[in-house]
Amino acid sequence: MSASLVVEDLGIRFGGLVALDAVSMRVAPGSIHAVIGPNGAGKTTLLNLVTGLYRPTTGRVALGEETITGLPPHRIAARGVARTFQNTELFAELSARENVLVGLHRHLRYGIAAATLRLPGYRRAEREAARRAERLLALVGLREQAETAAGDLALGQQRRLELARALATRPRLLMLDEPAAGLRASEADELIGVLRRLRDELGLTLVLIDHVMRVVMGVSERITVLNHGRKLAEGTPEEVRRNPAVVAAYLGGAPHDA
Amino acid sequence: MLAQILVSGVTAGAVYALVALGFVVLHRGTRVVHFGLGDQLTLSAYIVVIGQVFLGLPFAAAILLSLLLSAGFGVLIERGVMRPLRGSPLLVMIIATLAIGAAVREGLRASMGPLPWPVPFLLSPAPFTLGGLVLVPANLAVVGVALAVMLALFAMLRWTRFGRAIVAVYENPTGAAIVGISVPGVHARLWGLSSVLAAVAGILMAPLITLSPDMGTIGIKGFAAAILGGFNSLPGAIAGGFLLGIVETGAGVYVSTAMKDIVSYALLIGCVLLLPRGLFGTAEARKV
Amino acid sequence: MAARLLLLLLAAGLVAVPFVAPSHLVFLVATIGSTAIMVAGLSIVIGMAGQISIAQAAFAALGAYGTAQLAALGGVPHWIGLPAVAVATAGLGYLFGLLSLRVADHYLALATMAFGAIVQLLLIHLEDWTGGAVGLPVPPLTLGGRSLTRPIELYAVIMPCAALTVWFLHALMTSRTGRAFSALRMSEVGAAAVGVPVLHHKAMAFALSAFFGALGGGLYGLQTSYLDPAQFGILESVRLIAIAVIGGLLNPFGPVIGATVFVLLPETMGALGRYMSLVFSLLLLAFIIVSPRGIAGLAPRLRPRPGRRRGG
Repeated sequence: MSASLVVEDLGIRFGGLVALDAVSMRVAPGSIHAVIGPNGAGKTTLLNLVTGLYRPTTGRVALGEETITGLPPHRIAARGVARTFQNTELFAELSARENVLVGLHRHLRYGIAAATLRLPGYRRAEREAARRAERLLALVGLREQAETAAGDLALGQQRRLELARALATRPRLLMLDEPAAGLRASEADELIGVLRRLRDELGLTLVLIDHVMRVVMGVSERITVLNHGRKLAEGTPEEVRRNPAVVAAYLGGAPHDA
Repeated sequence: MLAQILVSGVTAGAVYALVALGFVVLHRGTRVVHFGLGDQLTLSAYIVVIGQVFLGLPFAAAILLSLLLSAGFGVLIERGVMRPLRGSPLLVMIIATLAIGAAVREGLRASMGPLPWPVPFLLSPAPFTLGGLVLVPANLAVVGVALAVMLALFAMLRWTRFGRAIVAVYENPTGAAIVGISVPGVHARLWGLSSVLAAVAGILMAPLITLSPDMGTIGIKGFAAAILGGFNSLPGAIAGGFLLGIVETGAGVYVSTAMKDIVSYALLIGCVLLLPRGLFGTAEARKV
Repeated sequence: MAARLLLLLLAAGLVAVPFVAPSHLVFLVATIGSTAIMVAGLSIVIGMAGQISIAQAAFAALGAYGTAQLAALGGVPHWIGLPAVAVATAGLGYLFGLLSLRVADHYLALATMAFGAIVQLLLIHLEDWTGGAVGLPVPPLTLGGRSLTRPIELYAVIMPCAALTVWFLHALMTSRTGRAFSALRMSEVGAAAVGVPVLHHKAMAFALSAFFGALGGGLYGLQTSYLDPAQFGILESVRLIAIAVIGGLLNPFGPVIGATVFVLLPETMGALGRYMSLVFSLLLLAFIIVSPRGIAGLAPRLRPRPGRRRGG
C-alpha cells in the first residue's frame, strides 16, 4: 500500500522571492517523516508543491517510480497522495458524513444518469460509501457528530474530520500540515498514537509538518529541517536535536516556535 | 482615416474612462464590483432631464442637482445595502449590486417610459473641419470635461484630507483604522465618489447616444476598460478607457458598425482570459 | 410521510388543472413550468456549484432560436430539435465553464455577462438567421400531423418536463456529482485535494445550467410562438437569478416556488403591472439584505476561531 516519496532539487519562486530553493529529500515507504523549521521556512510551500497546488519552478517530485511533478492536484490525489491543511479546508456547510463522502468521490463509480434513475449501481455504491464513511468517522471518534455541519465542529474535531476525509481517498502517502497545532498535551499524545496506528495498520507513508516538538520528536523516524527555503539538516530526531545549525536557526530565528 | 478614428475614439474613450474610474475607485477600497453602476449612470442623466423639463431648472442647476443626488444615492447604497452585507460571500454582493441596477433601470422604465429623451449638448453638435479632420465641438467638450474631472480626482486624492484618507484605506485598511480613519466612513465616500464619476459619464454620454432606460449597458464597456487597465489602477482605468474607445471606433470603421459592441465585449472576454491583470495592473498575492 | 402526501396532492392538482381551470390559467401554470426549468439551471450552477452566471437568458435564447430555426429552415421536428439543441447548448456551456480555469469571482461574472450581451447582439445583427430586432415566429409543435398550440396541449408537454427537472435536481443533490459541486463551492482547494477534478465539475455545472436554460427557453418559445431579442437580454438573466434566489437555491422545488411568485404576482397587480419589474428587483434586494445567508447557504467560510497560527 505504501509508497516512497522522492523530492529532487525542488524549488519555486514567486515573483522575485525564492520560497523554496533546491530542496531534496527521500521518504522511505512506510516511514514517518517530519519537516520542521521556523515560520516562513517553506514547509507548507513544500507540501503545496508535492500535492500539486503550486507548480515548481525547478526540480522533480516522484511517488514510488512515477514522476508526478506539475500534475494538477486532483490527479496527484488520484495517485494516492492525501493531505490535511493547516487551517483546515473542510466543506463547512456539509455534514461530517458528507465531508467524508466527498473524500470517497473517486471510488464511487456511477454517472449522473445512474443517480437520476436510481439504478442498482447507484444504490449499491452509495450504500457501500455510507458504510465506509461510518467506519472512518468511528475511526477518528466522530460517530456522534456524523450529521453535524463541519463548520460547527470544535477545532480538534475539524482536524480529525479532515483526517478521516483524507483517509477516505485511500492514500498511500498522507501529508499532514500542523496536525498538532493548538491541541492540548493530552490530545497531542492521542494524535501520536493515531499516527502510529495509521502507519502500522494501514501501511501509510506519513509526512508531517509541525511546530509541536513533543509530537515531532515523539513519532518521526527522520526529520528534514528547512530554513529560509533551503534544507538546513536531515537525520534522526537525535541527530537533528544535536545539530548546531538547527539549534542556531531556532534560537536566532523564531524562538517562540521551538 | 487613422487620425479621424483617434479623434472619434477619444470621445467614447473619455466616457469609458470615467466609468472605469468609477469601478476602480470603488473596488480598490471596498473590494466590491458594482454591477449596477451603469444604471446609476443612466439615472443621473435622467435627473438632468427631470430637472430641466419638469422642474424648469437651468441646465447648469439641473446638472448640479444630478451630481448631488447621485452622490447621495451612492452613500445611500453603502449605508442601506452594503453595510448590512459586509462580510457576505462575493456571490451575494454581486447579486445585490445586480439587483440595485435592475431596480434603477426598471424604475426608470416604469416612471419615464421606454422611449428616448433628448438631453442638451454641452457645445454645438455641428461639426467643423480643421486640418482635414472633422471635429465636433460637443465631442471636444466631452473630452475636455472628462479630462478636467480626472485631474480634479487626482488632485483631490493627493491634496485633500478627504482624498488622503481614501488613499490610506487603499493602501492599508488596518493601518488606516489604527491612525483613526473611519474605514466605513471612507467606504461611504467611495460609493458617493464612484456614483459621481458615473453621473458625469452619464451626463456627457446621454446627448451623444439617446437617453433610454437601457443606456446602462454601457456599464459593460466601463468594465472592459477597467479590466484592460488591470482593475486596481486608476491611471490604468483611464488608459483602458481611451484604448477601448479607439479600438471600438476602429472596429466600427474597418469591420462594421454592427460589430462595434460585439468587439468590445469580445475584447472583455479575451482580456479576462489572457490578461487577467490587464495591461497596467499589478499582481496581487493570493494566499492559498 | 407528510411530504409524500403533499407531493401526491400537488401532482393530483397539476393533473387536474387543465380539466378545471380556464385556459389562461393553464397557460400561466405552464409558464411557471418552463420558467422553472430555465431557473433550475441556475440552482445547479449558482446554488450548488457556487459559480456566478449572468448568461442564463443567453442559453435560453440559444434553445429557443435554435429549435425554432431547426424546424423552420431544416424541417426538424421539435421532438428531436429541442433535445438536440439543448445538448448542443450544454456542450457550449461546458466550454464556457472551462473559462473558469482562468477566471473566477467578479471576472467570471463579467465574462458571463459579456457572453450574454454578445449573444443578444448576434440575435439582433445576424438578421438572416434570427430575423434581427424584429424577431421570428416559432413553428408549432406537431404530433401526428396535428399542431399542438392550445395551452392544454403545451401544458401536457411542459409539466412532465418540469416535474422531471425537479426530480433531477433532487437526484443530483444526493449524488457524488452534487456533493462534488457543494464541495468546490465551499473549498476548491479541499475538493481538489481529495481528488475531485474541480475544473471538470465547474464546467459540468455550466453545461447542466446551459442544458436546462436551453430546454426551458425552447419550451417557453413554443408557448409565446414568437421570439425577439429583447426577451433574452441581461435583465432577463438577472430576473432568472432573482427567481432562483427567492425560490431558494438549494431546494429542488426552489425554481418552481420562485417561478410561481414571479409568474402569478403580476397577474394580480392590475394597473400597477408596469412597476412589476421594479418590485421584483426591490424584492430581490430586500431578500438579500434581510438574510444574506438565507440565500441558500452561500457562506462558504468556516467561522473564525481565535488562536490560529500562520506561517510554515
